[in-house]
Amino acid sequence: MSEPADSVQNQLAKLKKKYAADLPQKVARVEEQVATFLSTAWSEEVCFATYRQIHSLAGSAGTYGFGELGTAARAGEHLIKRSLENKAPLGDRERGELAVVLSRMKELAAAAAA
Amino acid sequence: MKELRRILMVEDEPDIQAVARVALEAVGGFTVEMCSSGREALSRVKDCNPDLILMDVMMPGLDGPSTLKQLRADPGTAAYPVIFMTAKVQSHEVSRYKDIGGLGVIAKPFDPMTLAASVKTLWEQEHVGTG
Repeated sequence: MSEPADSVQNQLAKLKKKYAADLPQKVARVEEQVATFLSTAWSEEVCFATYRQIHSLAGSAGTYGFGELGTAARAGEHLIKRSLENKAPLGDRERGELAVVLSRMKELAAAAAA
Repeated sequence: MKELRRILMVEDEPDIQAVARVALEAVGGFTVEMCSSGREALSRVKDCNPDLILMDVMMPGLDGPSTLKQLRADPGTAAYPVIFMTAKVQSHEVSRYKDIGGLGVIAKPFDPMTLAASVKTLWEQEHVGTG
């Protein structure tokens, strides 16, 4: 509405390029948080921090045009949310699902940054 | 109809702040003030005096709905219109955000090229005919 579309597109492209370059680190931080969540006694505080972190990545990835990564992160978010709602650790099956999700997120982040 | 010019955005995620600023300023032509938390918004809102507050729902500390509740409890800030931004956009969730006083809801993730238009549409729905 305000500036020429190419100028806006350039600004968005620069932001997207930087976001993509940072994605592997962002996913690594999520992975670290999930590892903490899974390796320590269940606590609502740690569970919520994990939920928030993966929720943020799900939202930002989608907004920056990395829809597949956003969808994968959203799947992980739902798993953590289940733990939060049940106030209980994830079961073995859910842990396995989460590992698959994280692995996929790492692949997608690496591809985006390449 | 009152013109929408100044927006106070309350969003804790820097990546979202950056893209939303471009979306609202460069695409939409609005003036944007950015706050990173509900508490910061409460402390700055009167100085900023926005036409509209665009607020993330899930934030650490004071979340969006709690921030809105505190805005409404203060006569000096009660009238600021608030649009929520959230991934939770099922109809019952949207209804809940409207029930607590939100003007409307914009879904996350959002398209930077259409965010400003979505905000303007919700604004106009509320302000048509209010002079």
